[in-house]
Amino acid sequence: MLDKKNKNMNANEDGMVWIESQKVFVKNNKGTGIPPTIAPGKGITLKVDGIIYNHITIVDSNCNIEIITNNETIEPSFEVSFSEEKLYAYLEFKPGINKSMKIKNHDPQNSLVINLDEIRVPFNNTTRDKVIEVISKSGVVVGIIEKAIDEVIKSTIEQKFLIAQGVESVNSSDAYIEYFFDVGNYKKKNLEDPDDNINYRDMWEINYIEQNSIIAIKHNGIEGKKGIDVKGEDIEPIKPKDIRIISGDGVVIDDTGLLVKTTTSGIPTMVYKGNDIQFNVLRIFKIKHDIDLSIGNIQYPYDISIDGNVNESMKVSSLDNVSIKGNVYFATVTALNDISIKGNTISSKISSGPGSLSGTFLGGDLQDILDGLNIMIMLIEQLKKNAAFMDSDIKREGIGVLVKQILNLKLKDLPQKIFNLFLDAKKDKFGVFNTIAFEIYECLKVFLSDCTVIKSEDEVYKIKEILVENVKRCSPQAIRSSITINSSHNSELCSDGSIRVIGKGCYNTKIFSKKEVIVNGSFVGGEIISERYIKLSKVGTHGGSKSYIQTNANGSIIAEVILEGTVIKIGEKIYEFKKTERSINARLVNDEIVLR
Amino acid sequence: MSMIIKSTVENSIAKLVLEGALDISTVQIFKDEVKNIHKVTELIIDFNELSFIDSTGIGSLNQVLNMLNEVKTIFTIKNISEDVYEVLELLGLVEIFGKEIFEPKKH
Repeated sequence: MLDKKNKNMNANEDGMVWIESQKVFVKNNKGTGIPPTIAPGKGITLKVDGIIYNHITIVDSNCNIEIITNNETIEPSFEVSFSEEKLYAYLEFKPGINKSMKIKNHDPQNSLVINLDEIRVPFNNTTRDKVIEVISKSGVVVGIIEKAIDEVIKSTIEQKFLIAQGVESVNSSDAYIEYFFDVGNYKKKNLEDPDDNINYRDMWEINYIEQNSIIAIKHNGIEGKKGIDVKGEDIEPIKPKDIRIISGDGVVIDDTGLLVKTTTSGIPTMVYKGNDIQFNVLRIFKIKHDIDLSIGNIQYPYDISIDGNVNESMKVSSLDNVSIKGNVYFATVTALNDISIKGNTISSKISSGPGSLSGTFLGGDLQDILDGLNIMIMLIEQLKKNAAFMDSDIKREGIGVLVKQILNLKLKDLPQKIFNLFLDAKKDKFGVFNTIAFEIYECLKVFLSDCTVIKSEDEVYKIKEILVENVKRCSPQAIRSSITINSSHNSELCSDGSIRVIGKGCYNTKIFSKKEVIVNGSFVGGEIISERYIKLSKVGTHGGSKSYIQTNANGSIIAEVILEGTVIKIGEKIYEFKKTERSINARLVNDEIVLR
Repeated sequence: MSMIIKSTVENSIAKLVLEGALDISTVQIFKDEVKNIHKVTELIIDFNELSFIDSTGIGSLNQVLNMLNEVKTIFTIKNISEDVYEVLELLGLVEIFGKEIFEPKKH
């Protein structure tokens, strides 16, 4: 039924349609005015005079216009989802919706499209059994959370519930390596300077490891534990990653395959090869770059090999050999044995032999201790052969019980000698050998305490081996000492052995040698003092600084050319060259220098 | 191993006869037996039946002999088998206490 309403309309003649409080009002057009039209919006059924219109239609005030709204009910819905490993199951719940429509008020207009307001009222008529049925259908059988079901049936909002939880697998632990050395060639020194001064040249020390040291232990990975997913399937733990340790030079891996032990002293290194780690202990200390403040002075008990230069004010010191591929600038190089420099030395001091290093040789002190240890070992061996000597206590407590008696009764002075080694090293008696003295003392100090910690004879033999090696190494007899360089400028070369300059020669250089000196090139300025023969190519300079060559009475000086002004001394006899002479073989004959 | 000690005292001279082994399991018996001897001027330890000795046994013998020295008791060890004597010699007891104290077994 349509009602007409008197409304203040526009003054034109077009018809109007409007809705107010769910009712439709129509004002007819006048004259040539446009007739009013009406069209249904979404969710609306429009009936005009009993005919349903899905499109626009012209109406007038006499039409019976009915608007029918489509109400709707949506039932609650459920969806089960799973986490990646199906460890968790989730129930996504959407409550039911009762949708009802209310026609909006519309102002008067010529062409009206009817629109609705939608009213949504959520509801939840879900039962516990329904939720369980949904969960079961999805295959969830493990770890159903009852409390979550209670929450689902109460919920009136869209929500995701954790509805079941499986048992998580326990992760495996990967194998790992425990290191007992500083990784890298250097370790920082503990610099205790009360004045807070930092000596950058000595900030680092070489990462040096003694023989028979444990440098690494492998810890095997640990298998994890299986878990179970919400559908009752096993969740396999990730397998632990293994690391294989491989022995390289100077190390051994024990029977368990877990312990890496050094068989020699030196610098420990590691090489990664995929899942493998190879350990090495290298005696030779290789430096692939220059020696400068960035790494500091080098002091090392075995061979040193330097690919670069030795730069200003740095010191390189070895108890064995030093090999340098570059030049030495304003620096000091010392070695007990041989020094080889492929480049030039400029304003540097190069010394080889015992005289080059401070301190007393350690070998004699170690030999005394070694003698005692040898007696101990001999006694142990003789007692073991004796039919009356029982090893009941040794079997029970280890060889230490016998060692203790030997020290108490037979070798009372041995512990004192060992302690003296420590005291002397403390007083810096052994100079460059001090480090070795302290290291050996660490091995020997077991004899100063409760010897029962020594469990097997092998331990005594190992200590003996260390002593034997170091007696040899730290004795003057072991020393060769020589210097071989390319050329030198303003430098000092001192050696207890021979000195060879194989390149262009020496300029303003002092050479002191207890054996022969050979200079292939020129020797210009400076002096040579040798206890044996001296072989030179060209000596002296025209009008420049004088050259002085000296050998002892049994020595000789051989040169291709000696220039005017050069002075030679053989034994107590001195000769100055007044002119250039060639093919010289100067020596003493009847206490007089002869030149050929 | 076990050890039996027969102890007698006559005219201020005590005699201990050791049988068996002087080792880690029997040293305490030996030390206790020596401690129990009082007011004697001389102690004779008879090793005739002592077949074995270990390093703990040697240690205890050294302790006992030192103790006797301190209390100025004259002591001798008699009838020492060749092997046991060699053990005592190797470990320095003969040198420390003097050859006259140790009497080897007569053949």
